[in-house]
Amino acid sequence: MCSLTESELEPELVRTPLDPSAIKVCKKCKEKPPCVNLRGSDTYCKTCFLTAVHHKFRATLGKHKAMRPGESVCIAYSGGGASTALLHLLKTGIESDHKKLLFKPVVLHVDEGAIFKLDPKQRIENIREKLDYIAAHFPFKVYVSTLEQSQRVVEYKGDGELDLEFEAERTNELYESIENIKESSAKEEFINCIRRHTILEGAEKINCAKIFTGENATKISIDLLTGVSLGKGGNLAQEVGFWDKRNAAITVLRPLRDVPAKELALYTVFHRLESFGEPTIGTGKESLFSIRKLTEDFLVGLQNDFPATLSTVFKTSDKLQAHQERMVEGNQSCVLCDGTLDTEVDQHNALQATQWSTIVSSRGKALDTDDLNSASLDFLDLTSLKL
Amino acid sequence: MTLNLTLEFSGGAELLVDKQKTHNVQIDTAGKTWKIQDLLYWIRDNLLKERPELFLKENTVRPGILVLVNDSDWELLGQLDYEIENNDNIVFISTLHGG
Repeated sequence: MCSLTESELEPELVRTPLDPSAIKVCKKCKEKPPCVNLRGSDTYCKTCFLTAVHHKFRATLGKHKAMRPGESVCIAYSGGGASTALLHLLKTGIESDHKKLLFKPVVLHVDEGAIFKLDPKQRIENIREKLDYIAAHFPFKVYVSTLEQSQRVVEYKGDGELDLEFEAERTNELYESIENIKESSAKEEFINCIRRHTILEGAEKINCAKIFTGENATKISIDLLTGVSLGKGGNLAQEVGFWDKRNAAITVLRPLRDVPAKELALYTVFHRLESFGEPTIGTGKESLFSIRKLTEDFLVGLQNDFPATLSTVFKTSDKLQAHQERMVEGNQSCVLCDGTLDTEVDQHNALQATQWSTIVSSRGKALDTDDLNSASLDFLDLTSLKL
Repeated sequence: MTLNLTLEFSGGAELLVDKQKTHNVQIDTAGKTWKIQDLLYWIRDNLLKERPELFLKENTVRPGILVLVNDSDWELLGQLDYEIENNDNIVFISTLHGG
């Protein structure tokens, strides 16, 4: 690592452990003893902290003028901590006397058991566990669908009856498609695309023109760097911004994007919320499993020693703007990610860079520099890459 | 001295300890005062069913794992040097698995 970034030059950026005896009161109310430490040295008591998280959520919604009264919004609930926190924040906002939230959340859970070809009985049990929890604690309608059958959206009425059947053919089809992708990074991105499509289709089925997803600030920062590494520059504004308008009919919003993962986790614990995290393909794997995993390890590790890391990356994400040409009639979009097509642009695009890397790294010493002319870089001929 | 502790794992961390979110443990410390550092080694040797490197890095928790003692951030209590008391509730939350 470049020695210029070592702590000798910028000591104030390095995290120094707090001296327990030096902290006495909450930074905000200055009365109660603190119980959380954020951003390296800001200490708050439980009440002030929880109020602040709620305010951040409301402020994000407010500053983007996101919602209109009476509007239905589909809440993408995965079962994890962030989704549950989102539901709780919504419930608190809707039930508050002061500046009540006036839109109508509807919960959609997408079961991803097909990725591991889980036993159908186990899948039903997993689903029911989550849906029962929501039905018991939140006043929202609940729907469920599956990755492999995105058209089938079933309402759960909380009475134990779940009218969901898995079609083995569809499950196998999805499972095989994923298995056939050999490279883990590609596998992850494929699943992300499928998941996004399933949520969009589900929202359409339940008549919602807006979707809330639970991405937090930490995840957004990781997504930003990962997206750059994956060559997704053209899509980044939509993937890490507050709005995702790639689908003409349904908009995805990220109301938790200003809340760091640590704060969201603390929120979940203090409110005693239950989460039902399901393993994904990257769970329990080593850093080199995929580009995303490596980026995550890098950023989170760096954040430990330099608490300004994630916020700096995050601020960059705020500056990204979506291409205005997106909404032009007849402009084709990618089947997988709904992004604007950019493979036929003349001057230097990500596809060319990938082609270049593929040719250079597979030919090695056998590389004939004539191969690197722009005609061959634009032309995707896989047979020419065999040594 | 026996320490009665409630250890909770969530946010995905429970996958490392047999999917069990709450563990009530009794630890015989043989008269010694235990710090969180000692508890971490104990967890590694007694509770972690797989992949200890996903929970511990060097001698502390992996970046991304939060530790709370009795609903207080461990950074306010001296982190690894906090001396554990009987009936303490210690929570380990992974912030990496998202949701």
